[in-house]
Amino acid sequence: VSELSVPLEDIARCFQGVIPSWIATCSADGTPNVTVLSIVHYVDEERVALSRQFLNKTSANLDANPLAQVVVVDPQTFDQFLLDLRFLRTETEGATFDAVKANLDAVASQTGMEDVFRLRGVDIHRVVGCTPIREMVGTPPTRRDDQRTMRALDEYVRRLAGCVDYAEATRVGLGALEDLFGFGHCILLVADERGDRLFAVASNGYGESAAGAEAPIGVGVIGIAAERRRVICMPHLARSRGMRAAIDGGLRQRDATLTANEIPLPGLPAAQSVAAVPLVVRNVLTGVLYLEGERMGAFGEGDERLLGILGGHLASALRAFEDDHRESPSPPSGVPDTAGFPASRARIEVVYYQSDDSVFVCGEYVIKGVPGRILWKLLREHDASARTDFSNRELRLDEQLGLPAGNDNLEARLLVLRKRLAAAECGVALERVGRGRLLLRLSRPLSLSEVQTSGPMRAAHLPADVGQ
Amino acid sequence: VLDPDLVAFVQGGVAVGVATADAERRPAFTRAWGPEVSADGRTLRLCVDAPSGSATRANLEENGAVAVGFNPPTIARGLQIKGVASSVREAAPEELERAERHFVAFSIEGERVGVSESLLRRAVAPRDFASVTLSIVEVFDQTPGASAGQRV
Repeated sequence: VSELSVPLEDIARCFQGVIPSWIATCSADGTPNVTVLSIVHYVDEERVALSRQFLNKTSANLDANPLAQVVVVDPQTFDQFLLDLRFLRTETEGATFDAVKANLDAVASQTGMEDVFRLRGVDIHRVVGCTPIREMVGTPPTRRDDQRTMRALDEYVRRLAGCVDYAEATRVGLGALEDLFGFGHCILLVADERGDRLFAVASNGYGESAAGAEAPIGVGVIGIAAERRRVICMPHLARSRGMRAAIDGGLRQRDATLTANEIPLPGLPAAQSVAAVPLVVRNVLTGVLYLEGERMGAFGEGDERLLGILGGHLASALRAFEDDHRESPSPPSGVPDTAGFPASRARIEVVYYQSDDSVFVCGEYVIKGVPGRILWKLLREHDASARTDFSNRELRLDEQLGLPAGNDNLEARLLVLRKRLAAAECGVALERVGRGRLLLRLSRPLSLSEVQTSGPMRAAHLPADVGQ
Repeated sequence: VLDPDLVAFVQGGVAVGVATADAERRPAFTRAWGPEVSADGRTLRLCVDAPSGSATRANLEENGAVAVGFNPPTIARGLQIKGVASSVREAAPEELERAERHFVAFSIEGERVGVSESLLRRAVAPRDFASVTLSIVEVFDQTPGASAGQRV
């Protein structure tokens, strides 16, 4: 148990990195040194970690004289605390190093500063004193705060348990993050089977839908959280960006290079802090929950565990729906006959490009990749036989769709497809009409055309006996 | 010697941190306000939050070795001045006014993160100033990057 006059757990907000800290050290010959730190990391009740990046004189001093004094500031009250430190060792691997490095790499990637933010190690210090500089304004967290969080978690679990399908779980889950925890802007992304990108399936708190937007693994806050499987919190976007004012945050930066068939990730123009939570089920990365806040320090030390629990439970709930391959016994009755359109009505022009499985309806891009292939299959089947009722099972068994066995993300893909079609208002709609059952609805007759490719995807589109 | 660009940075309302140390090489940190560089760029005078009885006050009076850091809230730029205190005394009224103007500029940052000036004043604003004048011995560029910590 901590014997500090103010326990470090009581001042968790000071370790969010919202207000920079100062560190004072002293050389062997008695010369003091002072510099600023972007964040002091909480390790446990009696230790903190400081990143060894630019601190040349500080590092030399600590190697000669382990004593240091640091001031940390609560961003809500501006209460200041002096921490008397004794330098223990520099770590270049292990859990603390990995956690600090993941956050730094995310900041660097987000701001295009990979060359500047090189982490040489983390210095572990024992905290031998923690003293408020003035009479404290704030009050430490209480058992009542813990109970409030437990009640919210209980309600979150209860709401997700009541969901009957994948789409409902995404909607209810993201809604509960806002209602119960105040996380009002978030995007749920699912890991692509190829392992190099994530695609957004649902969002809350943005004007536009995120469905279908992609983020590469290994780049930016979302990509680094996925790659390292670590919760990343950036509590002070303005400062991260200010480090290199000419370079805007990665999310908006990527928008500038989007091609015609890419969907931008939505983002808050006034986001001050962001967090990315890797979703892992059965030791496999299944996605990332990305959150934005308009307040500095909206996510930070203390929130990481909560975010991990919230994301982990949502991921497990969604995985259970993906793994549930049961089907409703028969097609629902009363399926409308869409074959009998008046001949005079203008057709829905659909163009499918083999090269990347992208589908354009009436000249507008709708979707590409796996859901593009699925949509094209449904439309062709309808064109050939006027079918409107389809099952997940037949999609899974269709080898030309190329869904990977065992982890096909089919529910996520279909949800993105349904949302993209709905947003396009193109006369083509896909509805879930029972467990594992889909209904294709068309407002007008179809006119299908396929643009073949001579590129690397050609073989995938040839009949099996020709392609070999 | 500080050139005009560095003088403008030092006096431009950035956060100011002061380190001193005792004979046991124990460092002590405190904040300072209202820095003013002499016309010849060789001395720095500022109001240090160092009440009588504080470690910083004792260190300043015992050995005078002092390091002063300057950083904007973004910490995108940094400067450190090292020197020896040639004078430690109670602050004069005009120095207190200068410190107050500096504090008001600083409190704008507090308001940006949602902390009111009154709260900030209670938590941070200095009450027990010592006016410290130091001869500038060394100046270091502490802007993050490969050259961090190099002499200017």
